[in-house]
Amino acid sequence: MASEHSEENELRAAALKTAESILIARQRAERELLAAHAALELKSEELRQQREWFEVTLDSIGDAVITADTQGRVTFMNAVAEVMTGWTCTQAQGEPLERVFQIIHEQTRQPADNPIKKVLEVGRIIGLANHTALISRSGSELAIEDSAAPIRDTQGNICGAVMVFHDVTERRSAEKVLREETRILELLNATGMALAAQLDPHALAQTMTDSATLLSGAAFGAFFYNVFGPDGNSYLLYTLSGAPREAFERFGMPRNTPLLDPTFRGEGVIRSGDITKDPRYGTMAPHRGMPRGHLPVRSYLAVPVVSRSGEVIGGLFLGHPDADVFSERAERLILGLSAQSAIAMDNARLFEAAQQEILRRERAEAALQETDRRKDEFLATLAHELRNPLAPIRQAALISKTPAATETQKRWSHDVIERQVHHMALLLDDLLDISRVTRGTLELRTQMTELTKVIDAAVETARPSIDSKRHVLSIELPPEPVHLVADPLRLAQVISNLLTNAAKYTDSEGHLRLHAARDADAITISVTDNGIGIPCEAIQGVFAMFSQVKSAQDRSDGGLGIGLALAKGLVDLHGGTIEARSEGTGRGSEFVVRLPTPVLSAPQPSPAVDTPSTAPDRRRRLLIADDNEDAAESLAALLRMEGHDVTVVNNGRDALETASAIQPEIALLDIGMPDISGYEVAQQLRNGPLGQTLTLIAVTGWGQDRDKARALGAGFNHHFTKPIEPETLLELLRSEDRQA
Amino acid sequence: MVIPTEPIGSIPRPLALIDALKPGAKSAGAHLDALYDDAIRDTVSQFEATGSPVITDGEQRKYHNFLTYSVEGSPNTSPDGFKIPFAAGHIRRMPRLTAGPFRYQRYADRYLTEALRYTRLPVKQAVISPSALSLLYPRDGIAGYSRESFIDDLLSEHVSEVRRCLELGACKVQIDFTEGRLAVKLDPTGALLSSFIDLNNLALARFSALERQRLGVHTCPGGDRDSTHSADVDYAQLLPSLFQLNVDNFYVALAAEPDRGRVLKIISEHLKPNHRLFVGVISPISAQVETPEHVRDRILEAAHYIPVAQLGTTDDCGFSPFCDDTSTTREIAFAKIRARVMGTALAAQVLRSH
Repeated sequence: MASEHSEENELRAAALKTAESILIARQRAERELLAAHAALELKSEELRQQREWFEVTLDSIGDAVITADTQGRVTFMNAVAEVMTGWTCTQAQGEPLERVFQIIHEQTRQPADNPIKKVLEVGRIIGLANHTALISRSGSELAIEDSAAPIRDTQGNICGAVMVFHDVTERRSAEKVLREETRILELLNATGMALAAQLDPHALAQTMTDSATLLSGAAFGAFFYNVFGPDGNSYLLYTLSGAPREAFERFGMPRNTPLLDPTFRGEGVIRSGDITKDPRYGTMAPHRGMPRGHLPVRSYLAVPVVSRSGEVIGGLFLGHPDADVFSERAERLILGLSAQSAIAMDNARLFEAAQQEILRRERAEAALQETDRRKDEFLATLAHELRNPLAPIRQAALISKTPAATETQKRWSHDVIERQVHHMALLLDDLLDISRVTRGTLELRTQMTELTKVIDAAVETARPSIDSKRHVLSIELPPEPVHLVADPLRLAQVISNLLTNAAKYTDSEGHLRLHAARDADAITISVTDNGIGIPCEAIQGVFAMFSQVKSAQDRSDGGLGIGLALAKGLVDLHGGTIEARSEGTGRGSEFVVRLPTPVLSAPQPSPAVDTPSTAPDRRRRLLIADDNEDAAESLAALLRMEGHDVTVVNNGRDALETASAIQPEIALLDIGMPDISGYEVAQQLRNGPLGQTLTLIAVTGWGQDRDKARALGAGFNHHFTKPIEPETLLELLRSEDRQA
Repeated sequence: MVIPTEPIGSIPRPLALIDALKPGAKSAGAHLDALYDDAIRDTVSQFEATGSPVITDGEQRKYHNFLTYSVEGSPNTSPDGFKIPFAAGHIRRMPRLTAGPFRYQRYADRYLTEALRYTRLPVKQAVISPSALSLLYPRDGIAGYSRESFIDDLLSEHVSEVRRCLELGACKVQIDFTEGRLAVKLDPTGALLSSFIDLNNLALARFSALERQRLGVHTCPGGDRDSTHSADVDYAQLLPSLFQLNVDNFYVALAAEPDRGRVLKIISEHLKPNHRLFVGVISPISAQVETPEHVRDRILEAAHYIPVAQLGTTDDCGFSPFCDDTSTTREIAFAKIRARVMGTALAAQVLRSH
C-alpha cells in the first residue's frame, strides 16, 4: 500500500513536472499564436488593403467584373457588376453564375452561352461576344459585350474564372447616330449631285420630293407646283414619294385651306407634332380635315419652295401617321434642301427658257431667211412684172411719136399704153393692198350687199384671164338672193383673185367652176379648177406671202404671187376662212371661202355709188408742179383735153411764184421736188393769200398712210398715188365743182 | 433522422492470438502475422455483421495495449515506468523514457491500412493521447533531453500520427483520453488535468476546423479486465474541462455511471454547439449483453438532456484495451455491439415519431 502510495506520488510528481513543461510549451505556443495572430492580422490587414485596393480598382475601371469558382459559382462582383445585374456581391456569392448573369442573344432572344462555363471547359480566354443582352434582376435589358478568362494558381491549375463585361448601350446609340448622320450626309450629297445634274423641272421636283421624304423620316411626301404651258395657261402639277399616285389621285388638287394656303403663299415653315390638333385643321367644308380614305397624317411638315426672285415655286408637304416624327433638325434639313432645289429649278427654268429662246430665234432666223429668200424672189418677180408692161409702153410711145405712124397705129399705141399702165396700176394696187393688210391698216367698208352683185363684179374682172385661155366657167348660185355684210369691192377682189389664179394655173380650155351656197352658219363660195393642182407639201403655204408653187413659176403668166395672201388677208378681215384643197399635182384645185352669215334684216340699200354728175364740167384753173416734165405735161395734156386751163412748172419755187401770179383754183403738187418739197409749197400756199380757197392735191409715188397723213397735215386736201387714175382725178374735179 | 453510433475501438483478440503473444510463446514472424491477419479479417467481418455503420480493426495488432503500442520496443524506453493500479487489484505498468529524442516506433495508420483492405465500410482509428504518453518522461528528467524537448517531440509525433490516419481516410480519429479522470485522482486541484487539456489542445491546434470535425476524444474511467482505474473520481471534476478540448466529437462512458442523469446534466451545461456527444450505452465490463430496448431507453434518457442533433451512441470503452484481456469474449463483445446498433435504431424511431 505504501509502495502504491509512493508510486502514486512519484507519478504525480512526474506528471506535475511535466505539467510545468506543458505550461511552458503552452505559453510558448500562446506567444507563437499571438505572434502568428499578429502576423496574421498584419497579413490580413495587408490582404484587406490589397483587396480593398483591388476592389477599388475593379470598381474604378468602369467595366463590370465577376469571378467564379471552378463550379461556376460566383465568388466576387465589383460595384459595376452589381449595378448592371441588380445583385449585390453578397447576394450573388455562391450562386450559379447563370442565375446572376442572365444573357440572351439580342436578335434571336435565345439564351447565350455562359462565358465562364465555356472558359472552364476550354481553359483559355474567350473573346468579346457581340449582340448580347444582359437581363438584370429587375428585368431590364442592357446591351453588353463580354469576355472571360481562366484564373490559374501558381501551379498553373485553373482555380476559377473571371469575366469582364461592359454596357455598350451608349456606344450602340452613338453608332446608330453616326450611321444616321452618314446616311443623311450621303443622301444630301447624292441629292446635291442629282439636283446639279438635272435640268428637267419635273425630274428635279421628283428628286427633291424623294430626298425630303428620306431625310425627314416622313412616311410620304408631295410637292405641288405651277407651270405655264405653251398656251400661256397655268397648270398645277405634283410629285409624290412614299405612296402610290392612286393613294391621292381621287382627292384632286389641294385647295387653299387655312392650313395649306400659307405654304403656297411662301409664308414660312409649318411643323406640327400632331396636325389634327392645329386650330387651322378641319375648318373647311366639306371634309373638315383629311378626306375619308386619305392616308393618315399626324406629324406634318410643310415648306414653301421659293426661288431667288421671291417667286413661290411650289409647296413641299411631308406627313407621317405617327405623332412627333419631325424634329427641328429635320426642319432645318428640309429648308436647306428646298433652297437648293429652288436654285436648281430656277436654273432649269432658265435653261428651258434659253433653249426655247434659242429655238425661237432659230425659227425666226429661218423664217427671216425664208422671207428674205422670198423677198428676193418677189423683187425679182416684181422687177420682171414691171418690166413687162414697160416694154410695150416704150414701144407704143415710139410708134406714136413716129411721124410715119398712121392714126390707127397711133390709136393702137395709145390703147397699148393705156392697157399696160392699167396693168401696172393693178400690180401696184395689189402691192399697196397687201402692205396694208399685213400692217393691219386696210379698212373694210362693209355694208349689207347681195352676193350676186359681188360675183358679177368678180367675174367681170377675171373674165379677160378666163377668156384668154378659152376656159369654160360655170357659175352655181343659190336660187334666192343671199345677203351678207361685206365690203363688196374687196370681196369681189377675193373672188376675182381666185378665178384669175384658177385660170392662170389651168391649161387652155380648162373647166372652172364657181359655186356659192348658204347654210345656217356661213356662206360658202368655192372656185374649182382642173388645173395643175397643188402638191400636198405646198398646200399649207399657198396663202403665205410671195408664195408661188414652183411648178407655176415656169409659166409665162407671171404674177407677183401675192394674190392668195391678199385674198386670205381680206377674208380674215371679213371674219371668214379660206381653204385650199387639192389632190395633188395635176389634179386640180379648189379654194373655199366661208363667210359668217349675218343676222338677217331688211336688206340695206347699197349706198349710192357716186355716179358721175350729169352737170357739165366747168373750166377750172389748175397748176401742176412736178419735176418729172413728162408726167407733168402728160397730166396737163389730159386735163386740157377736158377743157381745163392748166399751167405746168417743174420746181417748188416756180410753183409758189406761179400760184401767186395765176391764182389757181386747184394745184396738183409733186412732193419730191428738187428745191423745196411739195409739203413746203403747200404750207406756204396755205399761209398765203390763197389760203383755204385753193384745193391742193398731192400727186406722188409715196402712197403709205403716213405719207397721206403728212400730206393732209401739210395742207393738202387730197392725196393721190402715181400713176393717177385719170377718171378718178376727173371725178374729183367734178365733185369740187359740185361743192362749189 | 439517424443517430450516429460508433465503437470505441478494441475487441478481444482471438485466443489463438493471445496465446501466441504470451511471453515465452514461440510464435513469431509469418505465423504471428497470419494470426494477426486472421484476427483482423474476422474482426472486420463480425463488425460488419453487427450492422455497425462504422467499424474498427478491433485494435487486434495494437501491442501491447492502447497506450503503449506506439513506443512498444522503442530502444529509448524501459518497461519500468509508472504503474497504473486498477480497482480489480491488478496494475498495468507504463514504459519509461530513458533518452531522447522521443519518437514513435509505429503510427496507428498502419493498423488502418490493414483494416481498409478488408472492408468498404467507414473505418475509425483510435490513437493514444499525448497527455497519456507524457507520463513516460521520468520525474528526475533525462540528461540532455529536457522535458520541453520531450513535449515538443511528443506533440510532433502525435500530430503526425493523427494526420497520417486522416490522410489515409479514417472516417474518425479518436484520441483516447482515459487519463483524464486519473489526472484528477492524482491531482485533485485540477492543475494536472488542466495541463493535460492544454497539452492535447496544443496538438489539436495544429489541425484545421475541418479536420477537427473528424477528430474525437474518448474518456472513461480506464477499463481493463472488467475493472477501472479511476471510476471513483467524480465525472463532475472532469467533464467541464473535457469539453475544453478542441474537438467536435466526444465519446463519453456513461452506461456504468451510477447517476447518469446527473452526468448528462453536467454534460449539457458544457456541451458546445459544434460538439457531438456519443454517450456510452454499452458497458464492456459487464458480462450481461444489453438488449436493444435497454439501449434504446438509455438513449432516450440521454435525449432528455442532449439535443438529438448532437447525440450519438458508443460503448463505454473498448472491449479489450490491453491485448491480453480475456475477461470478455469476442462473441459477447459483438453481441453488445449489435445491441447498441439495434437499440440506437429503435431510439431514432421513437424520437422521429415525436
